[in-house]
Amino acid sequence: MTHMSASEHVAPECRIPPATGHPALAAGNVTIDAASARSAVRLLLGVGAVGVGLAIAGGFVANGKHALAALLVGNMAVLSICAVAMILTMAFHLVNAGWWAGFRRQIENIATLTPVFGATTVAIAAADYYVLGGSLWGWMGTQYAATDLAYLLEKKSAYLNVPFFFGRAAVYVVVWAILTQVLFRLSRKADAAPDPSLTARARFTSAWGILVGALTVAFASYDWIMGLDFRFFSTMFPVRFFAAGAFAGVAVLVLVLVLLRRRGRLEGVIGAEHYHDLGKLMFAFTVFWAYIAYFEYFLYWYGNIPEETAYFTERATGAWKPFFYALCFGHFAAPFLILIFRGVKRNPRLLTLVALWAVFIHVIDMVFLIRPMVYAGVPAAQNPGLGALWIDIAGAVGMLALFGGLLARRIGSGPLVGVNDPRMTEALEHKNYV
Amino acid sequence: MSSIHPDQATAERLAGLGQVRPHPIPAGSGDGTLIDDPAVRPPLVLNNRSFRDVTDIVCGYVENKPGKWWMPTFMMTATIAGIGGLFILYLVITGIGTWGLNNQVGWAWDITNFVFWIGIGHAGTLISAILCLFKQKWRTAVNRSAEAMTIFAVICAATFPGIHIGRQWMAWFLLPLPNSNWIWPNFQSPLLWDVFAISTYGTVSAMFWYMGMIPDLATLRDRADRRLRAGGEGPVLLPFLPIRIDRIRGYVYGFLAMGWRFSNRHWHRYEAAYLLLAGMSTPLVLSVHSIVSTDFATSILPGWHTTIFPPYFVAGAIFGGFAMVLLLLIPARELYPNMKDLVTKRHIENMAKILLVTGSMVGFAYAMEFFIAWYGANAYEQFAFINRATGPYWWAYWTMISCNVLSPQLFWMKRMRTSAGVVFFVSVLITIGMWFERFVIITTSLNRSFLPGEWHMFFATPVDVMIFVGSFGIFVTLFLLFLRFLPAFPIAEIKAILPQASPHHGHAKGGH
Repeated sequence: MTHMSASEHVAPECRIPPATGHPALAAGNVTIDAASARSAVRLLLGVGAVGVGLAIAGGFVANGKHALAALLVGNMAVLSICAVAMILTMAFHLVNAGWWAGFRRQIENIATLTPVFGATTVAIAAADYYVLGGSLWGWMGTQYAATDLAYLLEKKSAYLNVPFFFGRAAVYVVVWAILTQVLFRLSRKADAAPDPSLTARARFTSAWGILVGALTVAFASYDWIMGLDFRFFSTMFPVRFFAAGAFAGVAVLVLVLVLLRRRGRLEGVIGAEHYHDLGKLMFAFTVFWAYIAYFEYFLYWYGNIPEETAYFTERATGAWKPFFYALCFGHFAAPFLILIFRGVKRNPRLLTLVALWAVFIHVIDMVFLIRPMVYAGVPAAQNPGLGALWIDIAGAVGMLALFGGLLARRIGSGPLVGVNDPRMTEALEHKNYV
Repeated sequence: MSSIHPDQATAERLAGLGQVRPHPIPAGSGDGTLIDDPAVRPPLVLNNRSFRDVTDIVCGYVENKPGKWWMPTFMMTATIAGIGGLFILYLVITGIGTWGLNNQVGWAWDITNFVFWIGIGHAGTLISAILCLFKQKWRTAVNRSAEAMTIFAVICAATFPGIHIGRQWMAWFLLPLPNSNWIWPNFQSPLLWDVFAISTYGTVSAMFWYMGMIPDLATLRDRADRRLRAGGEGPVLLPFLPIRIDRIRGYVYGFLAMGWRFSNRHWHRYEAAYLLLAGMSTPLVLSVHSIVSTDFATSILPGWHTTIFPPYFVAGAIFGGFAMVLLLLIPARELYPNMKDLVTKRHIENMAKILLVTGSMVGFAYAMEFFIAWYGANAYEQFAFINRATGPYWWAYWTMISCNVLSPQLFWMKRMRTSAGVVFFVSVLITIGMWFERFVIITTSLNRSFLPGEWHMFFATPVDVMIFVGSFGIFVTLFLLFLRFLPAFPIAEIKAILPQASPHHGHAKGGH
């Protein structure tokens, strides 16, 4: 890279002073031994295995479709968080951010799990197709062959067919694996010795990566959530999916940082100033989610075309109505009114509470998008209602715990901070001044 | 450096004088700002300018006579604006039948021009407010002129709803004013929401712009006052009316500066108010164009009724707005002395990158609309989109695609996005493309209705064309007046991003 040599002659005040030797970057502060993370990893993976196992068992004793939906809820909640981490990583690179250097490794850690949870989605879809013959993804099955909807299915068959569906899924997972691994390895490579050209290469990867990443995540949201109800279509859907994950994704990053600080790590690396800005991002994303979700609903409500409103009628009336209002208040109004206070964003305890709530309400959001498909059109008598709630809880908790365990293992596997990030000084000295 | 006393060095540094060093320009870095090394933050102001230099440069644009180009350009654009005004007068006297509207296309260039201008009106507040919230220091080079552009674009935009209603003297009915006939506007109509959205946006943007200018207006006031106190001769208003221009400046800028005295308290309140306004303007930027998009998206007309419209319109507005900022600033930095020190190549590169991102976003939206039109399996929706690409307006559609989606792809190449000429050329294309985007959305959906018997083409008349051309005249005229009479850059904010404003300045290793 020729421009690298050019920068040797820049004025000294333009050069970011290196942070080497900064007390906050002492080895004890920025590493965590795998052994101390191991108990957490074991516990979380254990809970995950039990949860997923229970949900699968529920599939056999109660309703297979229900069990798969429960797993998919947890899975998509986690996948959206990981995918947002992947996209935010690339966005931070592209805008030459400085303040993120201290938590860059942690957001990369979350991002690396994107292909893993992409693969579990494929597994759930494969189970649906090969074991249940296409029940959750109704278009895969034969139950609509003799109905009025067969015409619609035939119209859409060029896109909604099994080989293409799994082929696309494979492309998504491979793309995410390549992107996250390239970025993660560049980041790890810099741990050995300072080399700004590695950061420049990560920025280069991010440029094309964000384009490919956005497209694959968009189509994944079509295939894996919107496609559950093949009648429904909305151009806003990918944006809605991203907005949902963005709120919870930043929340998960906050939780990781708070936990590491509680373990006595990242002292002086992450502080009130960083929480403050992460809190602002959460605030921005809850507003963004409300904006997107509102307009998607509103435009179909106003147009009042039955084929479009059916989707929302099912979710805004009857048994799902409480979820509709819970999201209005829980995903927007309450976090908005709480996060608007400066003190909340700067206080790790309060921000942790909001972040935990964000993850919870994000799962509720995924329930709202996915679960109504399970008993749609089924006579009320066959709907177990709250009697099968344990399957949903097992599925969601299981997938979240699995995510937590894999993430904890990831965090324990290397330094907590990319100490040689060329902009580390900016991150350490980061101030809001308000 | 060591020859002067350290105290003197500190005093000079605080005064912004410092030691004048030639600005280092590493090879291959353009004007010295195109450095991609992540460990370097390239300078935002070139040539090692002192605080005083910044004041002199920015105030100089107002106080000194502009170049020879200014008056002829101004006369030309003012004439175009005047001709546009005459055509508006003709329209008011004769009626909107003078436009090329017909039974089917009851809305064409008027609403296209409205959405075009209101979109351009977005980038100003975006640059200013959102970049302020994101603490992007480079905003200081472009924020003032972008905010000014916002106000002028909103003025142009507001013209069109005002004149398209037919009986323009009844325009006050747009507002929910009590009247003896008990006639109210339709609160369920997005067109009425537009009235609220745009008037709110215009008000807040004007406040944001004006409030930011207050300290700079006070600087202009004080400089005029100082010259008056120094006595002597100075330029006068007219040869037979010997009032010194500085006296008029003192009164006018003094009135506009509202008693600003650069006190610590003033700055303290100013910064708090600025941040609050930035926080309020940000959702406003999104809301305005979202509401504009609902003018179309709430209807069930094929091609208009799609959920991605609000964010897609916002992305398109930012796209078109940044292109317009570049169209204005690239010539300005050539024509005004020392402006290249304030608007560097890196500023242009940054904006070109935003064009690439937002251009790709609208490309994404075009693609999703097409895909969902097919996937939704609605025959009318499918026809609307195929008709756009292959019907009688195919040329408009492909102009839109090539200008908006393809042309910004040039900016993947560093050479392209750092060349002011290329960026200017692409910005022209984007401005054309964004006008065509609105034309395509509006006219192609209207001209092919559900029954083939209702199909009508739209042909623009000279009145259509001249009112649109006239709106460009109004816009550029106002911008030229802004450059001539108001501070085009935020002086204090630029000083704050100079290296000597940093508390670490002069203490870094190798700094001396």
